Amino acid sequence: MTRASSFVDLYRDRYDPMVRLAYLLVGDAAVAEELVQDAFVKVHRHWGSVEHPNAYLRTAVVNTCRSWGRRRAREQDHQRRRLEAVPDPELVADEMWDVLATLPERQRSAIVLRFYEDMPEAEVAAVLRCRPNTVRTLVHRGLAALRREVPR
Amino acid sequence: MTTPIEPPDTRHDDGDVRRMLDERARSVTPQGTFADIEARLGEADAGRRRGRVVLAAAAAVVLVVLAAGLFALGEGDPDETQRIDVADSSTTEIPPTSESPQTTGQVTTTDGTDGSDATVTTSSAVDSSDSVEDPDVDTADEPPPGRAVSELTPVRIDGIGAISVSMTVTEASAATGQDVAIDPNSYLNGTGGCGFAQIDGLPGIWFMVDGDRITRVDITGAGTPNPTDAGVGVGSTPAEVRAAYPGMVTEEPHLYPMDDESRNLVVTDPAHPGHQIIFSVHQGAVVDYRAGLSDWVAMPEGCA
Repeated sequence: MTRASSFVDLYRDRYDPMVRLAYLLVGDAAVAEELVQDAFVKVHRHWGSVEHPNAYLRTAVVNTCRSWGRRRAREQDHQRRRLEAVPDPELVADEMWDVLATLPERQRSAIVLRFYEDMPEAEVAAVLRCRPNTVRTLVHRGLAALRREVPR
Repeated sequence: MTTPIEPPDTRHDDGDVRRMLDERARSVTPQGTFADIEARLGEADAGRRRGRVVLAAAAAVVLVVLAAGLFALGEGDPDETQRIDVADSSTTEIPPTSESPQTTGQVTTTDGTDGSDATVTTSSAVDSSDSVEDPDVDTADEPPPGRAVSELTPVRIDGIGAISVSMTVTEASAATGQDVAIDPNSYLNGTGGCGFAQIDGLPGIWFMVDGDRITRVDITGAGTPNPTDAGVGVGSTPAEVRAAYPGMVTEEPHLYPMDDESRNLVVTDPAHPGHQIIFSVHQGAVVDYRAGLSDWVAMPEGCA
C-alpha cells in the first residue's frame, strides 16, 4: 500500500466516525464536517511523519473542534450559548443533549471522549493535555452538571 | 498549595450518557466526499505558496535596508572593515522574530499552517566586507547569558524573564536558551491549535500557545514559586495582592468555588492595556495565577 493510497484509506475508514465525534463536540453537523475536513488537511500536511494516523487524526479533530468552540465561546456569553443550543425539532425532549452543549468545552470533550470514544482516562489526558486525575475531575464535574439539570 | 482533586465518582451509572451520545452520533449522516478534502488541500498549498512569496518579498526589503545601513557605515569609516551581527534583534529595527535575514543567506519556509507562520531560516552574520565569514556558523539561537527562566524568575503582566507573550515558541526558546516544548500529543502546528508548552525542569510554569504564539503564563506553584515582579504569588493573601497592585485589582467569582473565600483577583494595569493577571484564590490564599494577554488569561479552563 502506498502512502498516498493509505491516506485515502484513512479517509474512507475514519471520515464518518470523525464527523460523528466532531458533531458531539460542537453540536452542529455542518460545522462538524467542515472541522473534520480541516483536520484531514492537517493530517495530510504531516503525513510523512505521522506514525499513528488514526490517533493523530482523532487528536486533530478534537483540537480543531476545541479551538472552534473556544473562538465561539469568546463571541457568545454563556447564557446566550444556552439559549442558542436548540436541539433538532424531533429531538426536543433530549434534555441531556441540551445540557451537554452548555458544559465548558473541556468537560464536554472529556465526557465525549470517555463515554463515546470509550477512551481510557490516560488517553483522554494525552489528547486534552492534562493529567489523568484532571480527566477524572472533568468527567465527574460534567456528569454532575448533567445530573443536576437532568435528574434521573 | 494546590487545588485538591475531587475523588472519582465510581458509583455512577453512565449508561444513559453513553446511550444518548451514541444515539446522537448515529443521527448524523456525513455528506462530505474526498473531493472536499482535495479541494482544501489545493487551497492550503496555494496559501503556502502565497506565504512564501510574501516572505521572500519581505526578506528582500530587509536585505535592502540592511545593505543600505552597511553602506552608510562604510561611508562613515571607509578604512575600517565593518561587521554587524544581526543575531541580537534588540540592536536593529528588525521585527521581533528569532531569525534574521542575511545578505547571502537562503530563504526557506517551514511547512506551517497556511504560510502565515512560515519562517525565514538564515545564518546570522552579515559581513559588509565580503569577507570569509563561515556562512554555516549560526549564532542567532544563542541567548544572551543569564536569561534562562528559573523557578524564581519574576512574572510580569506580559511575560516572564526573557519571554514575553506574543512571542513564538521558537523565539522564546532562543531568548532563554531553554527548550520551550509543546506536548506533541495535545497540540498540532496546524491552524487554530491551542495548547501548552513547558520548560524541562520547571513543572509549575506553563505557557499557553495559540496558533504559534505564547499568549499567557500559568504559575501553578508546583515546585516553582515564581512570584510576580510586584512580589506576590502562590500563597499570598488577597490583602497582599491588593497592596502589591494598588488600585488595579478587581474581584470576580471563581468558576469552581471551593469555599466562601473562593474568588479571582484580576489585575489590570493602564500601562499595559490588553494584559491581565488573574490570581485564583481559595481558602484565603492564592493557589495559582496566570498572566498575559487578557483574552487568553480570562479563559478559565485552559484553552477554553
